[in-house]
This record gives sequence, structure tokens and C-alpha cells, in this order.
Amino acid sequence: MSILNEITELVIKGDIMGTKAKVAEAVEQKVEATDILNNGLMPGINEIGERFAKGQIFVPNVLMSAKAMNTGVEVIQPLLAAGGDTTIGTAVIATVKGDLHDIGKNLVGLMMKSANLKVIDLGANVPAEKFVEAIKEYNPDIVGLSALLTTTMNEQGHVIEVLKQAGVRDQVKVMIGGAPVTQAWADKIGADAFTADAAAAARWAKEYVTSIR
Amino acid sequence: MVGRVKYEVLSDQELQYLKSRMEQLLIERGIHLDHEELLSELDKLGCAVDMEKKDVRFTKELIDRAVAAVPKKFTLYSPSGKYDLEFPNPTGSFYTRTNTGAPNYRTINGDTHYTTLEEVDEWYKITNVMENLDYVTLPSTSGEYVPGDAVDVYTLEKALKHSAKHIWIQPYESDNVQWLIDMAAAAVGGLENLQKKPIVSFISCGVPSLTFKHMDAEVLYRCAKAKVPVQPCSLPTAGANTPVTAQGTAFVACAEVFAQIVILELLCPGLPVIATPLLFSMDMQSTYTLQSNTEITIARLICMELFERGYNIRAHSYGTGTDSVVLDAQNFIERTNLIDAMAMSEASVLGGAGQLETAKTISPVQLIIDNEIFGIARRIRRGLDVNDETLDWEDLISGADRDPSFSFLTSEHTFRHFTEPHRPDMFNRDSPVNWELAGSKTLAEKAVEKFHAIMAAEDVYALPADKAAEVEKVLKQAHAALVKE
Ligand code: B12
Repeated sequence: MSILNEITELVIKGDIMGTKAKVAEAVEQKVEATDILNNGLMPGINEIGERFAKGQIFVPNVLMSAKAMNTGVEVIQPLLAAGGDTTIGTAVIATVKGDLHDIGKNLVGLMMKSANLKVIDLGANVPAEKFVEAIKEYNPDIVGLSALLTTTMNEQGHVIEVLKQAGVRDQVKVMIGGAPVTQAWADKIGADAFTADAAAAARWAKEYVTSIR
Repeated sequence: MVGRVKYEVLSDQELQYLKSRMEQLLIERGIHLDHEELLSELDKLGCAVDMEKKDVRFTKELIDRAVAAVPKKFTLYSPSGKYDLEFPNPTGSFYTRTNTGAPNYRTINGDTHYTTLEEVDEWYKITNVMENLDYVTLPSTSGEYVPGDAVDVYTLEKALKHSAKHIWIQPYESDNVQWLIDMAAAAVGGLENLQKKPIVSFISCGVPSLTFKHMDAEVLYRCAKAKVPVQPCSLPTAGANTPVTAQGTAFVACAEVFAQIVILELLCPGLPVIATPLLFSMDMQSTYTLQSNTEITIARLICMELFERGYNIRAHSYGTGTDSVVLDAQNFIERTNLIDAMAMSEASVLGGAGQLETAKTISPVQLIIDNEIFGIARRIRRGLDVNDETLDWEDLISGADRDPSFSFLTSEHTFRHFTEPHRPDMFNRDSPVNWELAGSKTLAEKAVEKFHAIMAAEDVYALPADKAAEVEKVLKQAHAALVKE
């Protein structure tokens, strides 16, 4: 097995220390950093994505593999060109104001990271203005709003209004989600996407950012 | 409290182990509490409080003092006076309650939407006449129909006006807590009356692990001050915010609930409390929150035993419910399995009546059927007495049945006992021929019929007009104070 295949296998296994060591070994052997990324680490995480979509593995497998991949990336980061950003796009996510439920939002973040997006997580109970600031600061492709209460769902609509007023609405796609949220609600408040779970959210985000690159 | 038939899911050794670990957690790690006044009160009471970090640690002495202060007997009263709930239940049975907090309402036509205030009226009209349902909660109305800042206050107004049974209140905002207490007081002619006969109790709830946000701390604080009973909750999701093992999750939930009880009893010794750990788990493929995982069901029983047997504190958890979206076989397997397990546990209260979809939807049809299942479960809890009379010893030893003129159908013993076997109202207990003659109706169809009969009948309870006017006054004031438009 080539060293790149070994890296792929270690990512699939979710072996964090193993991946780190193997990537370091590859660097020592003068394998190109981009080669390690594209032909070692990436095939591993892509395979994991496919297995998960087929229902063959579970979320903890995905997250452990993503961790393994990230430790590998950290090793080669300094060697990659242009600051070494390997992500395919950026998402700002948060749970809206008045709402403290963050389990779903965290999962969305983790799954998006596993799909190789850069994720800026603003936390829970986040007021609308913070989204405007974050858009200006991070220039994301996507803004994800989570709400778990029928009382705080309204806040998702409010955030969209505030983005419009601040003139930044058209710079981003707004995704919404959370237990009481539906496609009908997304249509009503003018969100760009609703997904029922974190895996679908990551798929939608990945497809979208790939389509505009 | 237990009847005759019971599960024991903990050995004595495991029970002692859990108790000492739980206390150790509160003594060494402690809790995080976002509430200045409460923090300083706990500081004065001798807890180790870090005002800056908002962390609190308890001592063994304080814990023991708090546990000793939990009343061994208390009553949760009903607005109508007809459904007062004595704890422990004098018959050894459990009490039941409706589901709290579900955002969606499934009408009898199968239409599902965010709950409206009219549907809240409908709900209480049903709960008032469900004979196996002991107290109620607030259906969660939506910010689409009611001012989003005050859904709890608006829904409580409906409950106070229409529910004949005790009301368990789930607040949605810190600022609303005192208004909810005031409104309940208005319904009984003042706070003093409410303290004497609490017709409401409150939900407070931790954020796992061992963190209490301002609203819940506010519930603890205000209820302790107002002497209004609390059924403190914890809603962990195994694998998401607590250990993935059901045992680990039960442990964190119990510790959170226990911390709240300790706080309440230190602030207001003798306040009625019911420990309410409500466990969930996360499906590791769909990431959906589940209620009906088998290990979690056992873990619920662990929680019940820990409080009831371990501390002689009344305990309460989900006693019905499903992860299924509809009234299908999965639904009924899950809920009956849970109801039976809880009926045979130490639980004092079985919660969740009427819910589908992991507590996110309530359905009147489901509620009417749950009432029926609770009837069965109550009998399971009760068990059977074994003695000469129940064996029919006299007839048997005398050989009375050898006499050709004897028949069990006509015996005195049968006449004394024939009404005892349970006959669930809506179940088929007839031949296929007669079942067809009667319209080949399924259980769900009979529940819908019952629904229509209830709706057509007069409501059995309404809050007297003078009290209703007082409640409305508080609603107006609360609206003015809370609703930011
Ligand atoms: C765990 C939980 C809590 C925990 C939250 C802990 C935490 N750190 O998040 C605690 C105990 C703190 C809590 C508190 C409350 N809760 Co709560 N809670 C739940 C529970 C049981 C599970 C929620 C959860 O985490 N699910 C697991 C995650 C993975 O699912 P999810 O969030 O839906 O996310 C998935 C999708 O929706 C989607 N998604 C989520 N966000 C996003 C965002 C985007 C952009 C996209 C694309 C997708 C997406 O992907 C996720 C992963 O697949 C639900 C009941 C239930 N069955 O869902 C009630 C529930 C949501 N809570 C409810 C209530 C009422 C409350 C309280 C008001 C109760 C109280 N009085 O204390 C408070 C409110 C506090 C506040 N201000 O926010 C109600 C809501 C009722 C309503 N009217 O809407 C529910 C339905 C329970 C009930 N029946 O009472 N709660």
C-alpha cells in the first residue's frame, strides 16, 4: 500500500494519532503537500461521506474521521500555498436570539466541517445584529439559523429582515432549521434553504458552494 | 410509591453507589447558576459560591438538611376541588399527566399545525373528562397566533379558566415567571390561598450538564419565595450533551434534578417537590432525538428508583409517548411498553399523555387512547390480592362445584367479583359478527367518536366569573409588561 493509501485508510478508521504520524512521515519522504491533501486525506473523508449517506456508518464515525483529517491538515498547512486554506467555502451558523438549544446547530457545524467547509459558530442566543457583523467580517457563502421553539422561529424571519436592512442579504444564502421549522416556514420568511437534518444541511451547503466556485 | 407488582432495576449496592456519586458530584464539581439573587441567597445559606464564575458547590450537611426538609406528604390541588392529588398516592397507584411543550397539534382530521388558542380550549375539554388523567400541562401555543413574548401567559389564562385539574406550568421566558405565579394566584383569590392550596406547580429545567440558565433559576427562586410547588426537570440527550450510555445520562439527569431540589428545600424547607428526570437519546445515524430507546426506558426506571427508594422523594418521568409520527404499530408498541414498565416502577407520576413524534406533536385522539392504556396500567400497578376470598376457597374446598346445580356463572362468589375485571371502554370484546354489525370500527375510529361526544357535551368546568375577571386583569398587565411590539 502506498503511503497515501495508508493515510486514506487511517482517516477512514478515524485514527487521529495514526493519521498525524503518517502525514508527518509522508512530509519527511518529500511527498507534495497538495498530493497528501488531495490523494491521501480527501479520498478518506469522501469515502466516509459516502458510507454515511448509505447508512453504513454512524455520526461518531464521521466526526472521528473529520478530526483525523483535520489533524492531518494541520501538519501540512504551513506547506500549502496561499495560506493553506483547504476549505471549499464558509458558513456562519448560530442559534437565534431567545433560544438556547444548540445540539442541532452544533451537529450542523460538525457535519459542515466534515464536508470541508469553514464554519464560524457564533453560539446560541445570538441577536440579529451579530449576523450582520459576522457577514462583514468573514464574508461567508452561507448563514445558518437554528431555532427549536415556536416562539423563537419568528426570530429567523427577523434576522432575514435585518440582513436586508443592512444591505447584506444578497451576499449570502440563508439556511434555516430546527425541530419546529418546515419548508413552508422557510418559504414564508424567504429563507433560501431548509433541511431536516445536519447531514442534509452539509450536503446542501457543499453543493451550493461547489456550484458557485 | 409502588403497588404490588414491581420492577427492581437497581441492586441495593448500585443504589448506594449512585447516591454517593450524585452527592459527590454536587459537593466537588457543583453547578453553574445564572442568577445573582439566588447565588447570594445560597452563599448566605452556606454553599460555596463563586459569584464571578456563578458556580455553586454544596456540602454534605446542606444536602442532608435539604433532603430531610422534603415533605413526605403533600397535596397538589385542583381548581375544581374534585381532583386533588395526595402524595404519596394513598392507593399506591401513580398519577398521570398530559404532554408538555409540544409545538404541534394534530387535529382529528389529521391536519398538523402549530397549536392555536382554540385548540387549547378543546384540549382541556377533553382532559376534564378523562378518568385516568390526573393533571394537565400547557399545550405550547405558537408565536404565530399569540404574542411570542407571552405564549405561556396566554396559555395559562386558558388553563385557569377551563381546566378542572391541577396545572403544571412550563414557562418560556424569565420575565414571565412572576406573572405566571400572579395569574395563578388571581384565580384563587390571592397568593395566600395559592400557598394553602396550590392549584399549579412549575417546571424548572437544567441545561446538561449541571447548568441552570436564568429562566430556570428564576423559577426556583420565585417559586421558593412564593411557596409554590416545583417539579424540577432535566432533559438530557444521551450522546449529544450527556454520556451516550443510558446509565450515564440517567445519572446526570438525576444530579441536575437533585441539585434543584436541594436549592428549593434550602430556600423554602418543606416545599412540595417531585423529581422529574426526562431522558432522551440521540440516534447516531439520523441525529434525531429519541424518546423510546429501550435502554433509556430502563434508565428512566433507574431514576425513579434512585429518588423514590433512595431518598423517599416522589419521582416522575415520561410514562407514555413514541418516536413514531403517526398512530401506527410502532407507536403503540413503544408507548405500551413504556407505560407498563413505568407502571411497575417506583414512579409516582407517569407523564406525556397525548404525544406523538418525540413530544413534538399532541393529538386529541392519542390522548383519548392513552387514557384507556393508563386504565390498564393502573390495574397492573395494583396487582392482585391472594387470599381465601379471592381464591374462592369456600366453594372449592367444599366441592360446591361438583354439585350439578352449581354454576360459576350463578355463584355468589361470581356475583361479588364479576365487575372487577377491567373492560377498556373502546376495545373490541365481541365476536367478528357483532363487530361488523357495529360498523367494523378500529380503536382510533372509536376514539374519534368519543372525541365528538365530548365536544358535543357541556363542558364540566369553568372558573367562576369573578375569578376569571381577575385572571384577565393579570393577563392585560402581563401583556403590557412583556409584549414588545
Ligand atoms: C434537549 C432539549 C432541551 C435542552 C437543550 C440543551 C441544548 N444544549 O441544546 C434544554 C433542557 C436546555 C431545553 C430547554 C428548553 N426547551 Co427544549 N428540548 C430539548 C429536546 C428534548 C431535544 C432537542 C434537541 O437537541 N434535539 C436534537 C437535535 C440534533 O435535533 P434538532 O435540534 O432538531 O436539530 C436537527 C435538525 O432540526 C436540523 N437543524 C437544527 N438546526 C439547524 C440549523 C440549520 C441551518 C439547518 C439547515 C438545520 C438545522 O439538524 C439537526 C441535526 O440533525 C426537544 C424535544 C425534541 N423532541 O426535539 C425539546 C423542545 C424543543 N424544548 C422545548 C421547550 C419548551 C423548552 C423550554 C422552553 C423548556 C423550559 N421551560 O425550560 C426551554 C427553552 C430554553 C430556551 N430559551 O431555549 C419544546 C419546544 C416547544 C415549542 N413550543 O417549540 C420541545 C419540543 C420539548 C417539549 N415538548 O417541551 N430543551
